Amino acid sequence: MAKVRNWQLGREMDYPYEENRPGRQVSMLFDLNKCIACQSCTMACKTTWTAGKGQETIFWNNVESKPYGFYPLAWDVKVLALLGEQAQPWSGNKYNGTTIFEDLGMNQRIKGYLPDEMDYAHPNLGEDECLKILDGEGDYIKGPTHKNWGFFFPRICNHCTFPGCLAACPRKAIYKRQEDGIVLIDASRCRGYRECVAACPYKKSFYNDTTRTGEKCISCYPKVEAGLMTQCVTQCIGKIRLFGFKTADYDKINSKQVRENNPIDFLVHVRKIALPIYPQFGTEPSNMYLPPVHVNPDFLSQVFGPGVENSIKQYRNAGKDKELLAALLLFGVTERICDTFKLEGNETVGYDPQGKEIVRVPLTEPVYIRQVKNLKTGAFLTNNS
Amino acid sequence: MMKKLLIAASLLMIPVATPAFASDAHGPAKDLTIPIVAVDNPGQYGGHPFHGSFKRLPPVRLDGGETYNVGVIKSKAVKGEIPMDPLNRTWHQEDPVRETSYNQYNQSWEQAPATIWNDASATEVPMGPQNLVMPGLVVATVPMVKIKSVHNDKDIAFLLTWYDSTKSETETMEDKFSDAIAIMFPVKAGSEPSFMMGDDENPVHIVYWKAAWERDIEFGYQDVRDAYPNYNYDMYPEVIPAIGQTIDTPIRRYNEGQRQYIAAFKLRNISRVDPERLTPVEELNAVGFGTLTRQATNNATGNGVRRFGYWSVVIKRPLNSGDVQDSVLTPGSKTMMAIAAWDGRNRNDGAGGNRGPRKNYSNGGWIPLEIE
Repeated sequence: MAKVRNWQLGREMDYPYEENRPGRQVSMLFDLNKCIACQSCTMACKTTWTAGKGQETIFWNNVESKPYGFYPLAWDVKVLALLGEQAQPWSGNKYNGTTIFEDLGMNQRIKGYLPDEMDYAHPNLGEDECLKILDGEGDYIKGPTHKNWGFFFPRICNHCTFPGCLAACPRKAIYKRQEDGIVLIDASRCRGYRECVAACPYKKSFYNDTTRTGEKCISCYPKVEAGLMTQCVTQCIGKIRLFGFKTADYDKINSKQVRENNPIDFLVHVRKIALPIYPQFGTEPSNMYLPPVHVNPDFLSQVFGPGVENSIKQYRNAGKDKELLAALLLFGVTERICDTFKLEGNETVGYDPQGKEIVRVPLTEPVYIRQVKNLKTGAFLTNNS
Repeated sequence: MMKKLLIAASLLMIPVATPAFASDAHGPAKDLTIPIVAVDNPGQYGGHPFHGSFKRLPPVRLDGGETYNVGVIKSKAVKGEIPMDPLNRTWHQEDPVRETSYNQYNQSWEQAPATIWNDASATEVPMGPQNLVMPGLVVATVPMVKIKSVHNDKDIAFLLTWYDSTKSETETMEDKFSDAIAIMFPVKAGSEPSFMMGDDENPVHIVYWKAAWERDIEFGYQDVRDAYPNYNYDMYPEVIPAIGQTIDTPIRRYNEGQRQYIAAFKLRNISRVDPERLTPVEELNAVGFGTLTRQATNNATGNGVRRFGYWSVVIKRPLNSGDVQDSVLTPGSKTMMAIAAWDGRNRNDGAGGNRGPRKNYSNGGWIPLEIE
């Protein structure tokens, strides 16, 4: 086991391979306050990549309803249980518990579990049960009820800096691309051991029944290589997602020498408003979430780590914070990857890597007041007359 | 008359349902139904899921083998073609109802016709859990493999027999793994590669048998419909433009364009997806852990059958195939071989069944092989 530096944990941790960060890292940001679980992203991914034979229960992208919706069944509570029954302890920004790579049992390479085949058969089973709309008969979840809160949780492969799948593969058939940090399975070399399925704590590596090989999100790399965002981002009707590249160099992250004019770096490293998903797993996931403001803070802290309070405070203030608003308004406005952005007066402008403007969005939409009545014809133009 | 029939049936141990009209004036008739005991039920032999030695087996005669070698595998020279059947199939019909020493014709196993394996001496190879590289096993899941070998002037064959309480022969579900066995030889004659799948200077030659491939050959390539007979799926995009195809169209009939949707198939990963498989074995080379690679040309053949909870697998390969990646075995010489075995159903290891490095290997690594 080598020692690697994980900025999300604020400490070094064990990993089977040496630290080897890509030149830049693909990253996706999700504004969870805006997700309505329409599953447009799920279907965009499904119809593009996983509609073939053997992929019936594979969803590289899924949206689950938290706290009780899961895909596969109970994935996160099972992995949390592997890390320890007690809550994973943080002191400030330092994680004091163990990751999936640490405190291993005798025959383990990584802490993980292989889901049952039926765990994939019922995506999001139990999603509405915290609401107790039904009287409890036939509920999947039995437990204490709580006040009505919940949120929709879109998830894809996190293209982690320290991927559990890559570390687990006995054949080294999984690799992380140096040019963009995308993690891929070599389908011609895979022998279907499903060690990656068992090892990925996010359960985003899948098994194809027809080919008997592992399959996972490829971050739409043909699109990314052409400077475009992925299918799940561009098809999102709620405009909750932003795709781009962020700084991967640990020293730059640690000394805050990140690119402030890059929208991803700005939201992740400068403002720290976008938070990693289950950072305590230790894989340093690249996808980041803006936590929902109305959800139980204890639950949010367990999922997104110690930065939740700061993130929600900033998000609630975003209307007055023009710089932050400028970055947030880039979500869902273009299919092309924004390399940099700039606040110009009342507009936010996105640029491609060559510095060419690709999108311009007003911070405040102009207001048009329509006449109640067309004075010439006498026709009503609004319905509130 | 009815009573006589039922008694006859019970003597033959055929499961029968008692018909309602069979009851007489003395009360309801006794339930003469014979409980069906699954062959796969663990604990058949002395309550142990595994056994320590074939010498203490219940009287089930699989292949003779009364002569045992210790610490060495001896290959016996025979004349003529080596048959692929590990057992005489017509004689050894597996009978889930009766686990007795009688076959369907009420004849003793002692009268079973001899096979080519009867006179070959056997070697019991104790197996250990692979725990040198993680992930591994804590305890052995296949503690013992019995091996016999015969050869003619062209081919050499190995009969591997081991007890496995569970028959695992599908890989078409997320959490199911197949039973498997593999034998390994040094590629270069006289070299001593690491028994951990060889090393950089000394490659090894591996012949690998898998139960799932046996099933693929017998019933056709196992696909989603075989694993989930009642599932429904609207339509696969790859079969929409093809007239006459449905969701049940086997992938072997897909053209190159349609195979685009089955990534590993398109990339010809035929270790995993081979709908036209002819043999349940494949040949591989390795130069250490994680380097296992399938050979371009496969000369070995195999055949496995399951009887009374035992797998009996014949692996046959040419003594000298002419393939530079294969090991050359010469009659009258001494070399060495190693064995690895997987119990696909065993979950002692905590993350599914045995596969890949979660395996058992012959204790001590290499075993001397003397070719007569």
